[in-house]
Amino acid sequence: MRQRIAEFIRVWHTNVELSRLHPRVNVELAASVPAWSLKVAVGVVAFGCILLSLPGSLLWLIGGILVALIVLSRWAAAPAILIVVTGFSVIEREPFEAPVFGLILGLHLVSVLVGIAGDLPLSGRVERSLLFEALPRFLGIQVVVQSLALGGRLAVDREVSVEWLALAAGLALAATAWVGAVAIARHTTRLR
Amino acid sequence: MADRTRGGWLVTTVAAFAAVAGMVLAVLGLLIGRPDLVVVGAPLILSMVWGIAIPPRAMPGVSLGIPRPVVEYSEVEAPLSIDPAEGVPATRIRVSAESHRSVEALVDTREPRKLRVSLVTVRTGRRKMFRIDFVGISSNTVFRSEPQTVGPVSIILLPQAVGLREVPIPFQSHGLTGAHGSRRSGEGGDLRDVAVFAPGDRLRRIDWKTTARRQVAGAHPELYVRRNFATADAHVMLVVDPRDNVGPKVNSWNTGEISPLDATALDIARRAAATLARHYLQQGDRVGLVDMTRGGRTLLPASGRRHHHRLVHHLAIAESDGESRRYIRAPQIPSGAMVVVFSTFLDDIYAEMARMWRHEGHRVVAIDVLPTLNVEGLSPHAGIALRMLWMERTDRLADLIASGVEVVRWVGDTAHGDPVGVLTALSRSQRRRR
Repeated sequence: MRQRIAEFIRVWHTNVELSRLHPRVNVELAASVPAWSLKVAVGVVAFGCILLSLPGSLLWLIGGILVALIVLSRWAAAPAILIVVTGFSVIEREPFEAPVFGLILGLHLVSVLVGIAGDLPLSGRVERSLLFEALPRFLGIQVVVQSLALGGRLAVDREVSVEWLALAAGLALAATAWVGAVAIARHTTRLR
Repeated sequence: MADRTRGGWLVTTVAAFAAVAGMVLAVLGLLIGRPDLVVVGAPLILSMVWGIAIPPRAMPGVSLGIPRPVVEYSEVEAPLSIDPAEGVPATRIRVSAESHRSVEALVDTREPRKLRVSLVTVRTGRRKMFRIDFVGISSNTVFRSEPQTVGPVSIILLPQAVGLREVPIPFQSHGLTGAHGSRRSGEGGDLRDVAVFAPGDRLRRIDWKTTARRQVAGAHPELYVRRNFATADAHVMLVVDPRDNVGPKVNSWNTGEISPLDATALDIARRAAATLARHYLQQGDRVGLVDMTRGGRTLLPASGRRHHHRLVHHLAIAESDGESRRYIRAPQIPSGAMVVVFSTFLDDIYAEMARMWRHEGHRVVAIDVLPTLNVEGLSPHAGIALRMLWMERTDRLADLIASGVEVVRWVGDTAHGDPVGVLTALSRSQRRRR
């Protein structure tokens, strides 16, 4: 059709090339990685977490949808739902089985990577130094939590009641959350 | 969950959801007596608490420098500085510009940063560029600042001249000095004639050989002098039509969405006018400009480098004032000046003025600056409309040629394109008078 119109019009020089996309603004960053690669990494880790959580067909379906949402959209609830769904699946196993250690690592990694790249579009970029900046905190938390899990495993092996362990862990986390909430309130007041 | 606003900083939804997920797992583990469930949720809660422990203390300072054109690459660049703020290791920036796709990035701002933002454009004139939206991000992405904006910054992109070999000159020249030959006698280089010495002739012009040859015995001796042609300069008036700022995509003529990689008719007109102005001024001629958009304001013909800068600046800021009024009275052109009209000739206004100036005896060159058309995506009805427009334009240009106006099509921006050859041919063509 375009050719026909071009011939019809018989202009001096009629150009019927396909229109080009508008060019992109350029920002010269330090060494960086594309946001899509981080999102794909989140997807891969999330799939690993689903694999560790004894998936049935329903979990695969829900997990697949959530992973697609995490990678392709900026819906912040998707990773949280994935964490709850896959995390809750540990009740299918014996307490502190080996895959639980993997889930602790994987779900935390999903949370960290979504925090870094979740709000960026697929075409966005993240400076590599920011990934290294987050690494010490990630490793620090993992050392603490994996040690706790290992302790739990040892306690289970020595047949300590898991209910008491759960109660102790729950109280510790409740105290941590309370401290965190108070800190948020103080902090935001100071910034007002 | 909606972001919670507190004094310019918000708890990010990602961190809030992650903490809630961690708490849900912990509470469920507590309720059903599964400590491993509590431990699975623990990193998320600890991550939130750690982030809260290193709170943001201030906003990062973002400032944008003055944009600068990089002519060789058709680029415009500007420096972007980000000053660090305590507790804000990262800043998310979005750089956008008119007719460009924006770019988003997460930048490490623990140290002061100097970034270079740039874009490619072939457009000229007054442009607004580089709007920077930014958000400070605290440790572990727990807090983010409210979005802030810097820019956009206004810049005038001057048209760049290309090289020309020769250009047409007016039928009439002015003055007694300049780069062009004149019909009057004066101090030029070419021999005009040999005449009897008269008061006012310089002694060094006496041609002694002719004087000796023409002596008649017994007669009163007469001296003969060699007279040369004078030189003169040319007066050129540039008339730019800024109304039809159309791009090559016919489909965009309605919407005005033009790619920054496509020069519009006005961009081509500015570049062509700047090219001709530079060439004439380098020859020592006098060039003026008629800007029809601001009540017909005129830059009178003058010469020199400063006048060249003034002309190019005027060309860059010449743009449509949004009114398609019909000019009843064409501006006065100095006597004997050549008129160069830059227009798309999509309507009659500038064609009529060109014809009128030609009838007054001026040499008129019409530069057709309509870009090479791209009819992609044109509906059949629009195609028919374009065809009718095109036929009218073709007739208009034919009428111009018939009335003695010389028409040149300015294709693209290259110095080796068609206009160079056509202008050279015009400069060598015989001078015609009506």
